[in-house]
Amino acid sequence: MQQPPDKQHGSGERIASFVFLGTVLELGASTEPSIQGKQDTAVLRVERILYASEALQKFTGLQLTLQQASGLKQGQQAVFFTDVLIYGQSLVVQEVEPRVEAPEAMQGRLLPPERHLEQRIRAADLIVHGEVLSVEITEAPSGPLSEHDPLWAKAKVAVSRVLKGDLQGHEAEVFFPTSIDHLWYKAPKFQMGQRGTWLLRFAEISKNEQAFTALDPIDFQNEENTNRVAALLEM
Amino acid sequence: MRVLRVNMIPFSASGETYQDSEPFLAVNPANPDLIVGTAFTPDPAGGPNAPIFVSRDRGRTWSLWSFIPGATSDLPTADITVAFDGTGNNLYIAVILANSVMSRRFATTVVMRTSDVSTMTPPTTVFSQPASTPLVVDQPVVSATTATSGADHVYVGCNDYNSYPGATGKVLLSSDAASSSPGFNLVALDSRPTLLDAKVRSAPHPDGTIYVAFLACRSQPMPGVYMADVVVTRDDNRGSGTAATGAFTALRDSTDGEAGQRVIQNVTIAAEEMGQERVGLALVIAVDPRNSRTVYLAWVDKQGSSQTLHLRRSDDGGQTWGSGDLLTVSNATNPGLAVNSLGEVALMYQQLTDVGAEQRWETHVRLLLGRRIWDGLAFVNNRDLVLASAPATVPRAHHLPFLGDYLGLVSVGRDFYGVFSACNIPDLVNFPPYNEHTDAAPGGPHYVIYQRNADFTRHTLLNVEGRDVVAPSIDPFFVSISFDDEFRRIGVGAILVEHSGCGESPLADASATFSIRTEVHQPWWRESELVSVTYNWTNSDGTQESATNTNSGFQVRMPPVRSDGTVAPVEVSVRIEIRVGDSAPRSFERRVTVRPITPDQDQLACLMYKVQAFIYQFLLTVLPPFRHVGPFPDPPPYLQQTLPGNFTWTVLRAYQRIVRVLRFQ
Repeated sequence: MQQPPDKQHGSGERIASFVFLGTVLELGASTEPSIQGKQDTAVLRVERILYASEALQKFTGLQLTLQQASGLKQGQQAVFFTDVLIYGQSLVVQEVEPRVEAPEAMQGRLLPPERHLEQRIRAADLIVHGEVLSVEITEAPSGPLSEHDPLWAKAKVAVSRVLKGDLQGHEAEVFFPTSIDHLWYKAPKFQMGQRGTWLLRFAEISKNEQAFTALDPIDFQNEENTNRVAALLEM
Repeated sequence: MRVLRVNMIPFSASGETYQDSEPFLAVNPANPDLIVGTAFTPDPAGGPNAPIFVSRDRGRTWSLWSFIPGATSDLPTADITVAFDGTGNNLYIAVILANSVMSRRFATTVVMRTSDVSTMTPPTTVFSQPASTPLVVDQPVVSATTATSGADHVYVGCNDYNSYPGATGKVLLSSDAASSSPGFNLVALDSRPTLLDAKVRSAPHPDGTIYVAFLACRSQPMPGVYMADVVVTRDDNRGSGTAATGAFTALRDSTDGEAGQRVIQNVTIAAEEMGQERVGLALVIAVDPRNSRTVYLAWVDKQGSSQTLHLRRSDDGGQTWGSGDLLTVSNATNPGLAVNSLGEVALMYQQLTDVGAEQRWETHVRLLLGRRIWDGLAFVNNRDLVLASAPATVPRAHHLPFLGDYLGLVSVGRDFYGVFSACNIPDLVNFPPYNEHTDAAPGGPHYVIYQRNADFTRHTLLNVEGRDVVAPSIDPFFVSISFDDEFRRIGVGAILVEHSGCGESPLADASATFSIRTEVHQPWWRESELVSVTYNWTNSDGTQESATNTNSGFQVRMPPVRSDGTVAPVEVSVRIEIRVGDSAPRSFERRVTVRPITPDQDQLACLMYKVQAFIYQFLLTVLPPFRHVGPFPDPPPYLQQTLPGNFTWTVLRAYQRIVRVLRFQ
């Protein structure tokens, strides 16, 4: 199973997964034997990480290889917005967004977590703030036993504020998977009394049945992030 | 036999802590250096593609390539299995894409193909269904062969939930998978009334035979428990069947005459948790590459309180399987099965041992060999290798499966290649030596190799910068079990040559003796068995002698000076017999003639060294590689200017020095 951030969902925009300030050490060179000999590579040193997953947090000061490096000069510094192509003895990365000269030149450009959240907000059918009133396990589906069965539960949310979309009444029903199968375990699980903001999508959860769901880990934002969601909604 | 174990997580991903379970493997049959692995390993950076593991040095080192498209944050890819075709030209990839909430539950399968994985050419989708009518299956396990016509035949065993309740066991197959727009057909397998089928696994043979086995769950007496038949089907025409009977009907049950032989009926299949893992549904099949009528089958059913693994063999194309198991293993799951080019069998599985907090997941390979191999103590036909024995309670599972719903094992030529998932704590206790003679050095050639940053002394994983400790997790481990193909590469591991008898006084008027002892040490990792070493030599008086033994030497009486002032030559021959496993002994013989110019002390020493050099050279030629294990004998004082220092070099270096001395002389 793969669990990457949503890079293309909805808008189709690519969002870099590894953003760093780097210095070009050598052009036409590589730190990784599997791509040695290519002309369009450059060896970079990571000076500062602006965004990285937990697994890549310790690359400051290390060297990596940029593939399809163009318009670079030896000694040049820039902020690189990349995805990782190869994990070997070192990394091989590829730019997926335009680079900028320095962190100071980013001029309000959103980093991946905010862009990801922005995409989820944009794609949401309903965004509400509220509190879970109750949680109810729904009946098991009548289909075949599958380890990928989501084991749906239904959270009834008392809505105090609608940030996006239309809601009839003051309650929203949110279906969420209780399964810890690898396809479902990262989806938020809700408990009675939980307060926050839900980014909901209306989706088919079984044959002939549709419901609101919040399946991405960031589809639920706790209370202190409500204003962040509201701010991104206004952008 | 040599066993290589490698943690597949690359160094640059040292910070990852994911539960990298459910691994699979494909080895390029034309170039076994190229191996592709898969697991539930996400892109550690969180990038948009699912990565696959790639090795280009036969599994010794691995990199992770973000390669498979199709994942999103809330709708990830899932099971990925891989198979090379018969020529190694194409790699086929079966992927579950959960691109909608519905399809995540009933996963949507696509089949991809790439002709050049080594250059990261993105795979081409060769089969997919429209979103309105998705192929909703689980555990799509792909296999492939290439016909003599050059056409690639691809088989994806799967559980088609669209057919529930009923015969969900199906094969998605193509007879022209390498073409630009291949056609795929979905073929149902189960001819009997059933509730559902599971674990559909295929085993194609190059001659066109293909077996597909599955668990036919006939009823469900209680949640999670099924009463099932273990069924094997066969097609003798690459899955195309015949016009009269259809596909996968070549094997008819000996009792009811329906397509598909029931190997065993009405066994209990219990889906339950064991050692943080979900278990209960497990089956695998493999065919003998030498004879498509010999086929092996392994499955797991519930016997009493134990998930019990069974291994059986059929020698008549799947019709009869005997009444008993070749092997029975309790508390086991995840069988992997392969048959090599000699018809030898490897069964890999994972077994839960001990109880409570002491529980461990052990990964075994059972080898059923047609020849004897040296295990350090004796020659044996069967071996039980424990590849890993790690705590079953660490790390705490944050999702299922913990280790995977399956693992991978294949053969190419005589060698077996496998992949399994296990706890990655860098502790040699977790990776038992498969032989008491194993080199215990961490990371050594006969132990487990970690690419990711690991401290075996402190039993901790480290991040790339070498300071931060990384939490234990589940990693995929590659294993290869290789048998040297070339006899020349099998053999004596060490020799020790000694000498004596070089007198101090001039020897012009007397004969002398010296001895050479060739001590042969049987190396534990080799499969050869030294039968004998025979020396024949001619003494100074012309008499001929011989001695046959393995570890003692022989004495040569030096020739006296002839009446004309010359010295008679000495002839020495060495004959070595070696047997590999049960094969007949093979012998090698070399002869050398040494002719001293004058029978003085220096000439005798040179003669002695020349004979030694001859033996070394012979062994180097016939039985490389080997190494010198003892101190090299001190040279005579007169030679020390040429051969300085203590003689603890490798034999090769010593031999080169000797040759140099002889040339110098």
